[in-house]
Amino acid sequence: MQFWKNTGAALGLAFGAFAAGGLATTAVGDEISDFYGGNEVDVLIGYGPGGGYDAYARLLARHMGKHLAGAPTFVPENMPGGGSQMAASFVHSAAPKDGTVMVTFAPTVAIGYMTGTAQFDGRELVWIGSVTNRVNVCVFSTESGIESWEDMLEKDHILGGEGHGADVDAVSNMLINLFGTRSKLVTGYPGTAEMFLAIERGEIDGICGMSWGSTLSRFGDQIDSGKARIVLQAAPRSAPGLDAPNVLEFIEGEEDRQVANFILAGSTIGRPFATAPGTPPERVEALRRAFDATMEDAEFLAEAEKMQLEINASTGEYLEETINEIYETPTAVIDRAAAIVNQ
Amino acid sequence: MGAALDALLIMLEPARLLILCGGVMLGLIVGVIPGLSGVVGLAILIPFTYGLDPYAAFALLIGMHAVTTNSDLIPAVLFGVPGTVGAAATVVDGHQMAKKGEAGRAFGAGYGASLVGGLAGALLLAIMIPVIRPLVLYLGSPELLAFAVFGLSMVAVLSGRAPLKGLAGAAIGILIAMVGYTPQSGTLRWTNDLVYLWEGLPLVPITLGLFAIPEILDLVVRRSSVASGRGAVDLGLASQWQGVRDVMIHWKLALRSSWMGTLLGAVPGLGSASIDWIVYGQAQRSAKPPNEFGRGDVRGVIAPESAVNAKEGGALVPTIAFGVPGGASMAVLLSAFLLHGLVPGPKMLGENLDVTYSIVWSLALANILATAVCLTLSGHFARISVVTPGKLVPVVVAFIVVGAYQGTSNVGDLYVLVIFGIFGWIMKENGWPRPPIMLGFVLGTLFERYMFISVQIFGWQWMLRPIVLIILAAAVWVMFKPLKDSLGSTLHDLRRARVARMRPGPGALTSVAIIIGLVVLLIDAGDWPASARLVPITAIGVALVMTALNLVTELFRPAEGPEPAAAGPASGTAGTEATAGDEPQGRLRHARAARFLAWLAGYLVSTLVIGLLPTILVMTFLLTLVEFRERLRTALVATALATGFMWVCFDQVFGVRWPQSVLGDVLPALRQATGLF
Repeated sequence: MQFWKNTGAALGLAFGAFAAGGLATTAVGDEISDFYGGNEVDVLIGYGPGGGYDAYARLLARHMGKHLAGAPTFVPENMPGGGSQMAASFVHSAAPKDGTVMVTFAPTVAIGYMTGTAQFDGRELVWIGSVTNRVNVCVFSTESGIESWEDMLEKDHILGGEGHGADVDAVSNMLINLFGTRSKLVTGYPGTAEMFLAIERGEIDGICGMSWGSTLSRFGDQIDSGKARIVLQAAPRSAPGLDAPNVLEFIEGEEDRQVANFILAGSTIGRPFATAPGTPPERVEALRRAFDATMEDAEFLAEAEKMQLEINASTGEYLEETINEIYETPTAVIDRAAAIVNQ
Repeated sequence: MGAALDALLIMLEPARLLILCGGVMLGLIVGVIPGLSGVVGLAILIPFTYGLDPYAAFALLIGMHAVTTNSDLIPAVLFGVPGTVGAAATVVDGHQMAKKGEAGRAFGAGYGASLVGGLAGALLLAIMIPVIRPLVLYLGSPELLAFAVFGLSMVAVLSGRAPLKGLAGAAIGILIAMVGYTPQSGTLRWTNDLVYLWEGLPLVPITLGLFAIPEILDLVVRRSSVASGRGAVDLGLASQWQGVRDVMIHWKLALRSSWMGTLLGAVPGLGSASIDWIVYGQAQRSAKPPNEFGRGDVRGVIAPESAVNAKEGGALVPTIAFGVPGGASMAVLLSAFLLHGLVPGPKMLGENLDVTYSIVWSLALANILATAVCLTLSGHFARISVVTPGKLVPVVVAFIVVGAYQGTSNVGDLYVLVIFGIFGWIMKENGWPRPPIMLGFVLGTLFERYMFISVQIFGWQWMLRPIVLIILAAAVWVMFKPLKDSLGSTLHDLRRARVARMRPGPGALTSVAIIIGLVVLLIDAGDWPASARLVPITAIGVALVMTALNLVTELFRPAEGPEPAAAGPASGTAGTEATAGDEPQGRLRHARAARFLAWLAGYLVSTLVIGLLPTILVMTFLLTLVEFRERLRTALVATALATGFMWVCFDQVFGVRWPQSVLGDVLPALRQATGLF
């Protein structure tokens, strides 16, 4: 990306743009400052352009540089493949271990090692932070006649899904198989926008497992105008200000609770960023603090709001702890959770 | 009307026009380089739109994205290398025209058609704006399924005189699309523990492999320039104007292809990679004789070029009206909308109507600008068609290889390129039409996805919905005549088959190899859950039956030349075109082809050892000097130009991550310093 930097001024005139990386702030340590002053940081995205992971990573890349000593340019790069496993594996085993690479990928890849769907132990990655966790909600069209949790248990209805293994499908299957809702899951929609359209057309009745933040920002219109309503939420912690019961309140028995927590683990991890194992601790520390500072950056937050990207950040330390805890889940619970999600 | 005029005045401000020009120039460059796509261009440009107002921002983005399909026909016509995946159908007749010395005419026709398409797309978008929302709400999963079926019905036309091979090819294309993770059951189909295959085989290397590699091989075997020995070569500007006049003569076709392109573009999931073939098939289906499709018919250039440009207007419909992006580039564009505080949905048709109309104008103005630029500049490009292959082929191969790598930026893309290149060449040599394979591939996933959703929700009644009935009737109309004609002659062949007349040859051998391959796939699919098996097993069944019947005709058909004259339209397609008399035959032909495929494998091995860009440097040099025996100076210049351009374009501007090589593993310092190893 040297080219953009060099000719940034000229292009800037033509495009009204600004050259990235010119806004140096305070230096923290000489070593860190020297290192990042002379290096770029690659932000690998486990998916192609055009998705949520892509949008978050590009947003972060635009703002994180100014919070790191040496003010390096953060360069977003798409590395799609294997449901983001390609990029995560690359950083786990092949990328430089010097703090010049970050990667974002699906949480399922971080814990997939336990269920045999990922190739490496997620605990070995070095976690930088997560831009947001998610509170899952069930959204139903007003015409569906599903108005409450009781309705979900008593009336037949159709839910949309994005495909086996997606958050939406995991949450829906949990409701059906652990709680006995009378939902029929029709899966394979390309994305949440298409499912909302299917709700509007009356093709499906609702979606369970949408993120509350993106529901509000992207489809808030439909909720405000009374075309759709939130019937349920599903997350270890309820969303502040959301008036809908949390499904975890209806859970009975410790094992069921563990199963639900394991299924919802991905929601807790959210949109994670990690770097390579073996990265020098002082650079990990610098990256983590720069990440935290970015999450508080007013410009960053304003832009996230504009782009309707929910920010509800967690630190790298919190992620590390959470993922270690998830890996402690007893095998029996994992097997049952896998059976529930895979039904 | 007021909003539309206001928007025009806004767009005509000099600063915004200048930005639009910048976008158009960038888009033309992106379009002409194989592998580079508008999506990546959009993602890179978005940060530069920060300081711009929404009108200017969309002028830049739309200007860039809309015109990639204007310039992508340049490499398609000259080398048979589609510049974007939407130009694959243009290769069929456009490249044949270049071979006949009509590159200039093909350019003129392509640009003219692109302009018609672009303007028609913009106009239709403007007309649709008030009624957009209800329109899109009519498109449920059953309707999307019906569109996929309609697209697949074009196989009957695209198969030309080889209906058995065409139908088998379409089924094989669907099978290729089935590779990877299936959303319905989570089954990993035919991935053989390769994570690379989880998300399916990537479009770009497959397109380049199936179409570009066989065309390049053709040049390598012939050892003559693209336009040699097939009629007078006309490179003057006048030949371009002839192409433009062709568009005026066939204005009905251009308009019909345009509105089809816009309509199909509005269907989420149908991209330019499928629309170009569907509209090409439509042109062939309805063309009046004399029908030269597949052998350089200008209508084969006009139809897909106008449709693919018109598609842009259609694709914006669901994006603007609902925030439902029909594909990756629209999804990136969606994030630009949000960045500029615009929420797609009713507001874009109400309070932000001026922005919406400014997008329409950007689309129209960008197309006019792009056509002007292309017509002015490409007189020079046409000259390339008389350059000797020794100076040309190594550079084009370099672009194909690096272009294929843009598929997913993984070395796997190069394997796919080489494997599908060999596959495509075998298909071409044995008269298997390749367009049905491509169409099956690009529509397979869409078909399976919406079939499951439709059947689960509506049962078999999905077929009874009114729009579905109309689309399916259109599909039957498309299939009826070509299938009747071509199957008739095939049945005729089958009836005359006699065991005593057995003539084993390369064609029969190919069929046997395909049958063996299908059986292996079938065995592998044995323990999948029912939902994961349904479509692949059905496709395998169709492919097996068609290939077996084809084997019978090939083995036992009476000897009267390889292509018996069929009744009905003489509609050859890519891969079935007759070979010219001046080509080397027999052993020399195969030796050259085999040697070139070995070179191609060399690119792959060398990439693994020393990295991709260094491979381009070394192999371009060696290929020019050793294989084509050009002078040292020529080799040095070609190598420097190709490698230098790629370094600037892919490494510096697009920030491509190069594959890791053995050399880089041994010398990590070298990798860290350059990023190339």
